[in-house]
Parts: sequence; C-alpha cells; structure tokens
Amino acid sequence: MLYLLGVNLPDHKQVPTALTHIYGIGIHQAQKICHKLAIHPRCRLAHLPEQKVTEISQLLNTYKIEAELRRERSNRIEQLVQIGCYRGDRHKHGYPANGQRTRPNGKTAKKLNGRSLSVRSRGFCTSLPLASTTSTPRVPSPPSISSTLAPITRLIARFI
Amino acid sequence: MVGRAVWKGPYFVPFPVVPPGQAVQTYARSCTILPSYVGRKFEVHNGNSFIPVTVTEDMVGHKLGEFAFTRKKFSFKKKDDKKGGR
Repeated sequence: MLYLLGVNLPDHKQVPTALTHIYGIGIHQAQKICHKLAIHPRCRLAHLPEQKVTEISQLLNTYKIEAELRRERSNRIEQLVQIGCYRGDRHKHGYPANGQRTRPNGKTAKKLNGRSLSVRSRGFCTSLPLASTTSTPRVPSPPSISSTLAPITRLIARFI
Repeated sequence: MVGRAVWKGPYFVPFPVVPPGQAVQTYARSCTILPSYVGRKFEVHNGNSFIPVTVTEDMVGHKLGEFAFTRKKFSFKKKDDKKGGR
C-alpha cells in the first residue's frame, strides 16, 4: 500500500485505477495525471520510481481533493440551507433535491442527502422549521411517555 | 442541472418602484435574483399565499420561487395511542 496525501493506494493496481481511490480524482483526472507525467497507463503503482511518486503528489497538491473538497461540498450544501431555498430544505430533510418523486423511491436520497449538515435530525416527527438566519441546531424538547412508547408499539403492531 | 444559457443573460422581471423597506408582491417566481435586489423585500406567491422573502447576498443566482415553498411541509403526527398502535 502506498500512502499518498492521506490515502492508502493499492500498490498492485495500475496507476490510473489506483489514483481513483483518492476522493476527488476519477478515472478521467487520473488518466490526465498519467499523461502529464509521462506514466504509462498500464504501469503498476508498485513499479513506479520514487521520483515519479513525488511528482504525482506534487501535482495532486494543486488539485482540490480529499478534505478540502469535502469541506467545500459541505459548505455549499450548508449555504443552501442557510439561505432557506428549496434545495437546502430537501437536504435538511434528506429528500431528493432534483425534482424526483418521493412516493415511491427516494431511499438513496434519504441515505445520502444532507449527511454533512449539523441541523439534520432523524426522527418520526418531521415538522422542522424553515432555515432561520442563525445556524444554531434546534434543541429537541424532552419526549413525552407516549412519544417514547409510540415507536415500540408500532413495531410490535407489525408483528401481531 | 444545466440552467439558462449564459449568453442570453439572466431572466428577470421589472418590478414596480416602492419606498425602501416595503415589500413587493409578485407572482414572478421564475425571476432570477439580481445583485440589485439585495436588501429588498418581496412577497412571492406560492399558489395560495404570499411568502415574505428578504433578499441576501447569498441568494443572488437563485430564483424568487425557490424561497416560497409550494407544498405544505409533511409532518408525521403520531396518532393517539388509545387503540394500541394498530
């Protein structure tokens, strides 16, 4: 395993494929990197000389990858939520943001959308307020006895 | 989303001149928010009522309708547990 810029890259793989394991580099960018640095696309990562590896890491430093990219992505989503637009609201609730139907499907969006948000709260009661001007997370009120029992009774009811 | 071609310029609608601080009622949800709108107040129609929107700098590329939700928010109201949750 070659440790490069915070990522473990599989040695035995070909260089373009191995580079795709970096967050922010896909096959297209990886091939461009290989073309730029005169690395044969079929060359394995383990067979690269030390100097080529240094050249790769130097080139990658100019790209926006890994933590920086993740930060930018989550900042953009948070900004959508803060201005109070429709897309931001969809991310907040974990629903699809591109106009899809939610009556069937929507599972991927529920899993992926708005993961990076601190305001996102999962729960049965979904009456969240619209994004306010401040971004402090909403403090949940203490649950009543019926509200804590409700999920359990629903679960039991399914098996009756 | 590709959006409107850049060479055409943004789609916008001329608004009536109002005293500063007064909201402009509008049905033009598809109007792009221009930099000159920052700080102004609009009341955007959502099919039913007018939603107040105060434009900030971050909103500039978006459309007015994005800030006036058209559907009532879905909230799961947990039912009374008298019937035992069936």
